[in-house]
Amino acid sequence: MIPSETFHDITPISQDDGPHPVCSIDYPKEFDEAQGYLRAIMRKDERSERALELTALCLRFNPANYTTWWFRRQCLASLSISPSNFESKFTFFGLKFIAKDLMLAAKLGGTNPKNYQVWYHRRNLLEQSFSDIKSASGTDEVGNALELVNEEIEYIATVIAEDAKNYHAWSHRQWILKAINMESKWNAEIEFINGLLEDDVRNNSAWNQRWFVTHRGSKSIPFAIDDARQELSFSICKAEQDPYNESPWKYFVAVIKEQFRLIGTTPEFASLIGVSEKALEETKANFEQESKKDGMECTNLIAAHIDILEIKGDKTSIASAIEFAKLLESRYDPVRKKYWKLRAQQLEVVTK
Amino acid sequence: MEDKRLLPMYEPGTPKYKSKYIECTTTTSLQELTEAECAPFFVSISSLDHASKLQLVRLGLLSNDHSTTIQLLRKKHGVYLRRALYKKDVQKLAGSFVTLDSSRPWMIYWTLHALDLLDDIPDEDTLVGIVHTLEACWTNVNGVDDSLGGGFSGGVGQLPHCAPTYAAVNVLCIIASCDSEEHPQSSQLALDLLKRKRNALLTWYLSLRCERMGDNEKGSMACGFRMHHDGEIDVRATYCICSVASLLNILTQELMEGMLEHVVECQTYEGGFGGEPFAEAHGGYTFCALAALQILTKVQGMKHLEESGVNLVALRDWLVHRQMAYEGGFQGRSNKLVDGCYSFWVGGAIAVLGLNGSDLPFDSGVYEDCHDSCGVTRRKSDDDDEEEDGSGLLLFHQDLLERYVLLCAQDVNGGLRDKPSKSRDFYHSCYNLSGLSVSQNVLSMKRKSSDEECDKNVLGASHPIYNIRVERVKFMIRHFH
Repeated sequence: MIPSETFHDITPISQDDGPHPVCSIDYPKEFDEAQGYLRAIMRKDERSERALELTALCLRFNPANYTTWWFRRQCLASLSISPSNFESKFTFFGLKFIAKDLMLAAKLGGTNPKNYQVWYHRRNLLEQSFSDIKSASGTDEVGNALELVNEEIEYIATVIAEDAKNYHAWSHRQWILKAINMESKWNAEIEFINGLLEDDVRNNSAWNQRWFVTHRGSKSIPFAIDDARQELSFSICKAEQDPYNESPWKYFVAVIKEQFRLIGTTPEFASLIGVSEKALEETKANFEQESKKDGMECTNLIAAHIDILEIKGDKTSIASAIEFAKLLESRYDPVRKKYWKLRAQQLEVVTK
Repeated sequence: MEDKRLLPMYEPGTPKYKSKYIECTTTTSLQELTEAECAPFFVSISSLDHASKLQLVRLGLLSNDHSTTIQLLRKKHGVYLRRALYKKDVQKLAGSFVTLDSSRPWMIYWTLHALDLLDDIPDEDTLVGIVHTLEACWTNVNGVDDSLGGGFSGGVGQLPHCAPTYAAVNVLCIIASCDSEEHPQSSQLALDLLKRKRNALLTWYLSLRCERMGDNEKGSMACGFRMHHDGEIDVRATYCICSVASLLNILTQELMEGMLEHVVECQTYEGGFGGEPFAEAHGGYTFCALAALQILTKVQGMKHLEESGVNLVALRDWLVHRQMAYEGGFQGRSNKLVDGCYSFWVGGAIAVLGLNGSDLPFDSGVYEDCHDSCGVTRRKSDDDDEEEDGSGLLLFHQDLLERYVLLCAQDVNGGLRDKPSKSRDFYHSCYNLSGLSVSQNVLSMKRKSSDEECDKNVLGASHPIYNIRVERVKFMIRHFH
């Protein structure tokens, strides 16, 4: 609650949504008052400490008010007086302001990690620092910026520890890694991912992150064949832990498909896909032996097999693929009956 | 008589299609809990005892004690949805709604569109009030006039933002296209507002462009958009802009440049789309990407979606695997939980693809003119037996999806929800009903069963690209194109 003396010189402005607005909210009194002052402050474009405090108060009630966040950044920029402010294409925020606002964002984001504005605020604050790392070298600025980066990566890890699939957290993490583009960070990220997959091999966000990291966040850097083999080995190993799991199979097939597009006509690829198919069949056989269950129940394994057979493209492979698709349709994956019927039909056309 | 439409191939409560696992993890535990909370709802009505049936009748879920079809609680949903549309002096939303104070046009859209699908549009007075409220949410860039552009904001005095702009324009389209005899004032006001603001919207949209070097072999330029000045860039913005711009006919070459390349880059190795390149494939973003692509390819004169560079096969495969074998509803990402809102995001995306179970190419002419027929009328298929199980021509299990919405997503007091353990809200009410509408209407003959009770549940046909009723899209074509 802000003491009224702080704004003794300000006349609050009430919200003007017309005489009979619909969808009106019965605002909490404290919020309504604070907003009244904020409207007046924003009309004056007063970018002061007290304005900053006011935004923090309003954001406590509605952390999704993107306008208030924007005005807050205007205040921070003005308060961080720097001669370089004029040349820089980024808004320059003083370090102490950045640190303080990251804390505020963490506090406001803590209860609702799905809020876009909170995460965007963090990104906006940090963008300048990362540009410093790229342009400078061996200066204090870089040291400070690196520290911020490490702390941010740590912070995101704590959010992920609470909610391992938080979409915003992962997006933000991808943004930092790509922005700083440091080999040591990319390598450390693989360790981080592996740890998460140890906790939960079904964490699809972690699988997606692995694809991102191994491609260094660029579509123009596909796997070299050795890397592909490594990734295939990794994913099938994880698939073996629980062949029902969709995530590793999708990854597995995607690696193969990428190689197919690059080197699909080469003997290296023929060897790669042959080895992969064998590994898949072994996984299925092991599963049947250990669980005494029908391997066809692992519909994600079978779906991967169908994809592989389709890529192989020879008569026998296509015939097997059709058989599998028909079994999934009629018995094992009935929710996708229409889809498997279509797959079988399309494969039959290929045979002709 | 056998109730074909309700549970064609599953026995009630059978665990046969529950998810299986070898290794127990957080993911598998949460999935088990979700299946457990849905299980009680999957009962065979005919096997219930008399007292239970009477209970369902009392709640409005059954029309009488001989019926075996779960009803859509039209009246109760109508009452619940209207809460967002009362005038200030009549009724306000509770203080806890302050967290949605930057989403007021959204709340108006979610509720009005849902009411529209229920054929329960509010009265003229309310519609006039809505138009005025939206006008109050208009903000121009220079603070003086529209000469530097403007857009709708989440609330009065806030900055213009792509999402509430999308919502506001959809609302205005709904109202503008209302019958001018029943709604003389509101329809005119809405149409006027749209006409007055369309140029300013284009100016503002152009200012949100973020060009960059594309991450593709050609090295061509890609262009994403911010959701608002100094805001986040993601594929939702592209969709919101494409939707509004195509309805108002301001989708210019200049605006479109690089859009396609940006969207295509958001497709992941899984086949779905994320919010930004390399972000995880997600139902909501996938819908946005696909709907935007459909608009862009059509406007740019491409015959097939594939010409955009998107991998349609991978996309199709990813989408169909979002349907949960046991629950019947859709998940938003692999290895995550079912949620009623994905009934539209994923179901609608599948509808946009215009896929069906027959061997037709992806763009077989159903969306030849996606503004017009939208495939509401049935396409002739060689294999007419396909219709026997009543499951329709979309490439997902429509009966099971509808079952999820009717049995698990409905709140007995009105409104719809994510899943049984969650509370109802306007957003989930909108998207559950939108998904249900798409499943019932797109590429399906209005499935006249021998059961009148099923037909009572059929909603108005929502256009799977814009998510407003098809006839309202047609109106916009007539007036702006």
